[in-house]
Amino acid sequence: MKKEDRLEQRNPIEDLLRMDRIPHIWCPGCGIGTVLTSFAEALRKSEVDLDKIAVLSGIGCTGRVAGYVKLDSIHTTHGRAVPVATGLKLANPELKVVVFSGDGDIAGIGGNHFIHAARRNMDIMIICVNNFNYAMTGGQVAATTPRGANASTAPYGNFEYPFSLPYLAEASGATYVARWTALHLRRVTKSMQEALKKRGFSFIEVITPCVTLYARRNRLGDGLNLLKYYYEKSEIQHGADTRTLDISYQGKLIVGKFVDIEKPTFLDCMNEHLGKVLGDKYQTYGVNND
Amino acid sequence: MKIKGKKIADISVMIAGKAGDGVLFTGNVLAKILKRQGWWVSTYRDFPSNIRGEPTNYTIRASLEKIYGQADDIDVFMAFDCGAIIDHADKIVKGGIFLCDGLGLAHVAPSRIDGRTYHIFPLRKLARENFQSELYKNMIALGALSHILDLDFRVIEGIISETFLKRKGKKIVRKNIRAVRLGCQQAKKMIEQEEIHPLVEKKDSGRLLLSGNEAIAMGSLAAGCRYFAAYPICPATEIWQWLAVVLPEYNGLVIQTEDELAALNMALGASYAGARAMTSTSGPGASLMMEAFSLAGMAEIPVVVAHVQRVGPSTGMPTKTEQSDLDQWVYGSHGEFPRIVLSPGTIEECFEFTVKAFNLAEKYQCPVILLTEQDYGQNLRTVKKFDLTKVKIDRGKLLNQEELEGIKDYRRYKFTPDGISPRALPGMKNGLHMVESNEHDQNGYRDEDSENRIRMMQKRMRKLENAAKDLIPPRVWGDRESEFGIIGFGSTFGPIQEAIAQLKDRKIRAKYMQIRTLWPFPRKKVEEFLDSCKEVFVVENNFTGQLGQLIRSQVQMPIRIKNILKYSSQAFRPQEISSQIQMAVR
Ligand SMILES: Cc1ncc(C[n+]2csc(CCOP(=O)(O)OP(=O)(O)O)c2C)c(N)n1
Ligand code: SF4
Ligand SMILES: [Mg+2]
Repeated sequence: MKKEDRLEQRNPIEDLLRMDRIPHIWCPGCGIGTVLTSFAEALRKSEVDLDKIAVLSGIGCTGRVAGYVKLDSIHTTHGRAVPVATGLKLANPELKVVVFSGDGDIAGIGGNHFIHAARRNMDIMIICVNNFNYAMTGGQVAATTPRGANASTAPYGNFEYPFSLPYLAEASGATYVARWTALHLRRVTKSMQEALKKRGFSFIEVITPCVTLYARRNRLGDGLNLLKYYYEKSEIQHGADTRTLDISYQGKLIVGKFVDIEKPTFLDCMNEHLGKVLGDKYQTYGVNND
Repeated sequence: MKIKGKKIADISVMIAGKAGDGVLFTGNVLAKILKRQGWWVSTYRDFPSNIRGEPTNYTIRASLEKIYGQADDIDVFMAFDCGAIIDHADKIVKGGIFLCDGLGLAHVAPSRIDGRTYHIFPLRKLARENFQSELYKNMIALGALSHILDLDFRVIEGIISETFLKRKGKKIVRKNIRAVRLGCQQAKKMIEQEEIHPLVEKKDSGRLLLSGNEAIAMGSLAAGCRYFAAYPICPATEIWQWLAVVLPEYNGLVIQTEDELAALNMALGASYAGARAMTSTSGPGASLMMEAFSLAGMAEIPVVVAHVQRVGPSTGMPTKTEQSDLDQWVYGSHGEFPRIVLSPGTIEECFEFTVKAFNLAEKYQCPVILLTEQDYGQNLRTVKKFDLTKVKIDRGKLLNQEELEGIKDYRRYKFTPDGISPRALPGMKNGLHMVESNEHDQNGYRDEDSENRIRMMQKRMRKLENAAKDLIPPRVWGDRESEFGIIGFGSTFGPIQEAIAQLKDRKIRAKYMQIRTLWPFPRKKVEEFLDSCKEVFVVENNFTGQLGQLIRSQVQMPIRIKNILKYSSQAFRPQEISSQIQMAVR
């Protein structure tokens, strides 16, 4: 094959991935890679300046994403990607800051950071891969595990109420909230494109198969079986009331874009307020005053 | 202490009452007056952690010489209630004077016990009758003190208008000045000339009256810190309160986080972006920061944490002083990584070391801890104006865009002889990189290969191997020829200095080593000092003798040290140190 042909045949998203790190560590049939592909696709389509994007992850299978994107990235500790992202965004508002992490990371150990970043309308974008369990550590029960599902730390089944993440995000102040499954890749990409353009706290939940742990433990078959479940039980309801989005074990999955509003961000509010109170003494933050 | 026939050179005034009485306010006004009159001032607060009701006292000490802490005794005692007398009578020196509001016992005659005079001084009654509000009791008390100390009334008027004019207006200023006059006149009527403690008048020297917390805040501003993230906690919050007012005028940002996990992680995020970033906390918050502390070490992100120690364990005594968190930062968190722990001993050092901390953090790309204490964190001391021309900013191996473009295959964690890798920031062209909390290779990619692990560990740990030249060395004070040595860190600086003077009066010569960098431990210097002493005392405000343990673990010679420990929640008084040493060496 000639070099030009090879270039042509190369998957265009390869430019956005650290190909020297591939093959990746994810299990065959795992959904995380497909969500990452959607993200790369969204970046390509958005034509954003790649130098001005930073990706942050916490720890977990999903947390490994930070290591595969060919962008400035930081692999933080478990649950802390959101506060690191906040510091990064505030110290360099020029950057588009994206957190890409797992459900345990975002809503379990990092839950407090998540709701507070949403409350402040911090201008960051969060992609949460919800595989209904703590995968990396061996399939433990999570704050998102449906009632009745089995997990390694819930051998008799989970009896706790799970979070509905879109509801949590909206109630906390998010300005963009969407939920999709790993089946809805085009829509995931589109949501990501919208969120990349959005100023404000945006949250995209992607329900994703964990074949090795969640599916096997619950005897749900392989990745294909889970995608089939998503296909059969998902229902697109844009603008649905986020109070109605609870997920029961193998039950209905309401997906769609639920929230897309405009609201001044943390920095907008700070600049407006301090500018008013301090007048000329105030140096508008995030604007180069040199 | 007042010595008959001699001018007073050093005086301590204790104001006591219940929380909510305005003890702090009155004391701070007095401190400002004394400072304005040219005296060196040092205050000491002993407050409960709740807002109202419990006993509280505040001591304002003034001296013609520079002082760094509290004295052994109290000369003048002003109490808003009688209970305070019972609590503190033993601290009042012979020849001292008590004034007490008496709470209805206004008819009791003055009495003299052990050369001390007691007066009932009806503060509240006078306030009610003359100003229709008990609030004025504070200024009446100040008036009485102004008579006893023979203060300059023009200075008092000046300070009162500075205090009230902006917030309360002219009328209130005048009313407060009247209250001070009234207190002064009443005191004149009842107090005999021989009971007063007149201070000689000096000129205001343009010095500042500052707490260590404020000095740290000023130091961080001077050092170029523009991002401050923290969670409220006593006794550290003043650092933040000062910056919250000032940073918006300097294109900086202050954010109150949801907890201390977020505080340090946000500071790391900001520093990763290239800002000079800082957080402040105390014991419980520091425990929550341990996780991110380790991240800073692994990811090699510079950051400064100011930790103002309070009494532990757990919630402990939030507003009182202790030195029990040395171990937490020297040994704390998981894994092994380079860290720097600085211990200022004075307000001036709080400022200087803060500037230094930011430079060290960026030069060595590691976390730097400023470990201070409630004692000089919250108490006020007079200091000379800081010399801003001495503030130098060193950003270490931070690359600019041009330098970065000259590098082929930029690697964030490149192996270098000194272990420090040139640092690019996210968003820069040609500097694409990854920052990792997992063990990683030179690119920042996760790597679990043993060979690489060994080299990376050595690279990180090597950074501080040759840092001694940049670190703040221990300082030796006192009689260098003497064979009795004292070692301490932080707030023990003042009481140890005074203890040495007391020992000298008793014909015992001693010297003192002030450890100013706790980690990396200044082993050589400490060994030299130990070697030159027959006997060594390590003075610490804690139970287990953490500095003593650190010395034992670090020096490579047989040593015998004795610990002088105090863990009552109060700072040392000089006598507590000198008497123990005297007993031991005789
Ligand atoms: C403070 C801390 N506690 C525990 C862990 C162990 N740990 C690593 S990943 C993980 C769970 C990850 O779950 P999730 O965020 O849902 O990611 P997934 O692996 O499912 O993608 C845990 C508990 C850790 N790294 N740090
Ligand atoms: S364990 Fe589950 S989530 Fe992790 S890589 Fe495998 S399939 Fe994916
Ligand atoms: Mg998960």
